[in-house]
Amino acid sequence: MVCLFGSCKKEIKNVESQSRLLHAERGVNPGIYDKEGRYILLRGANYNVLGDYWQGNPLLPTTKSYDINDFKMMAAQGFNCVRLIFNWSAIEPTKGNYDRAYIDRIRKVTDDATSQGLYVLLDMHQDAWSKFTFSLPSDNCEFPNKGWDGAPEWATIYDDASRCTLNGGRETTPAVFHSFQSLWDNREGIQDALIASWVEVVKATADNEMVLGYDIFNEPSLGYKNVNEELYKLGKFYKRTIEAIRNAEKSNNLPEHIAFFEMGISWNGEPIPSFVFPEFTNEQNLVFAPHNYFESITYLLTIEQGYEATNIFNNNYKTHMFMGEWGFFDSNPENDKSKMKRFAKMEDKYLYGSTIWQWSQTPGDPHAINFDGTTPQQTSLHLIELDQAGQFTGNINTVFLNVLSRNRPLAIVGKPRFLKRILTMVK
Amino acid sequence: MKLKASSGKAGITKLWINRRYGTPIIDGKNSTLDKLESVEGGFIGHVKVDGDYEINVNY
Repeated sequence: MVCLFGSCKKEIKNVESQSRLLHAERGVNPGIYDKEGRYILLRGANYNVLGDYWQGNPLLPTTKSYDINDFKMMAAQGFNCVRLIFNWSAIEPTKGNYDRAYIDRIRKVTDDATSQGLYVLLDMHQDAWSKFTFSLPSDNCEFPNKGWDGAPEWATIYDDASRCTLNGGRETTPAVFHSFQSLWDNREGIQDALIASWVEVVKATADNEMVLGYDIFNEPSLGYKNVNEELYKLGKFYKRTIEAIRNAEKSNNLPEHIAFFEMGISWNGEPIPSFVFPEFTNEQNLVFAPHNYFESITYLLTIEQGYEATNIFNNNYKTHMFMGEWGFFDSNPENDKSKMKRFAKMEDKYLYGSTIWQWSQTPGDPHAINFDGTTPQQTSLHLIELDQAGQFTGNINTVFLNVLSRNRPLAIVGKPRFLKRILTMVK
Repeated sequence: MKLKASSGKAGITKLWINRRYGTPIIDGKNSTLDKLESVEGGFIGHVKVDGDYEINVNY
């Protein structure tokens, strides 16, 4: 072997870590598999320290300070996966100019997570389009819209649409769904730019074999045109993004990672199961990654009905299913204990993986803070508790973690047929 | 925990086992515990399996 300058080093690195690479299969035995052909069961949490959120109160940070100890704590719960959230607004704050320091942070946090044995699902996150679609005082909204996270300001094209929500729901804001329409119509090339940002992330991270894959776009909203037309455009966007990612991997001699795709956001809060048409791609290294917030954010279906329904959609795609988000948010975790167990039972029944929403959330996060910058919370408990400064208080959510850390297979030889959590004390 | 699976080849199935109830007892059908690795918060069980197998984790 001839080694010239840095090329030899990179080649060796890829060979050394080859056995950690996972891939997905579709068809008769859909699943996520390792190099030995074992069925891999991934469980973990969403992690948002890289989130670029609207800040409702300048004194309250919107994210926790990053700490590698978070990953050590996750691993000690048996987690083997983390869904790492990041935002386009921070990758490309001005058009065509990438923030290399932010991309380096994505890489650094990814490497830290994988050093603790966690696979990393890289998630191009957004909620209600952007942190730049918030209501102004001059809008005189009856139901004002907080800003959230996602697109940069230069890609937020909503013309004169209102920045007030229609009923308090963030996705009902005309400025939000007009911005999505601009994306699906690729106005001013913003869809091209979003895909190009993905390519930058792929080039920076894909040589880490424990990158699980790429969650193409979190909870996309449709625009305001005909639903079928919008779903076609969503599928086309997924297809274009997957092709760009595959080209980036090939042209840079990087390993291929799994593409994850989602349903539309309307599935979570409204009776509109917006999912892309099954023929949107022939990609085989593909996983369906819906969210399930039944009996949590929405009571349209039960936990079990929601799980079964998403699995029916999944069967149409002939893919493996991975629940990228789910969770329960009562201020007293004991009140959600039975729901946690019911969700866990469904996961074990189908032998699917998931990442719960979420590891931690500050009281200043848009999910927690009021539009006027006040917050009802001195502390915020998800899986760990944070104070208003975004610091870990030392308290953990033992109710949830006792469910999440239950015994389970990590890698299964052959075709799994049955998994049940039976606790027998024989001593 | 009880796991059943079918395999046409031998291999190692890996398990996460939490430490909450102490050291686990692992047995089953067409399966043999190869290694019980102690890690922070629990154990990683490496179980040799072949054919139609069953793994039971008790305490």
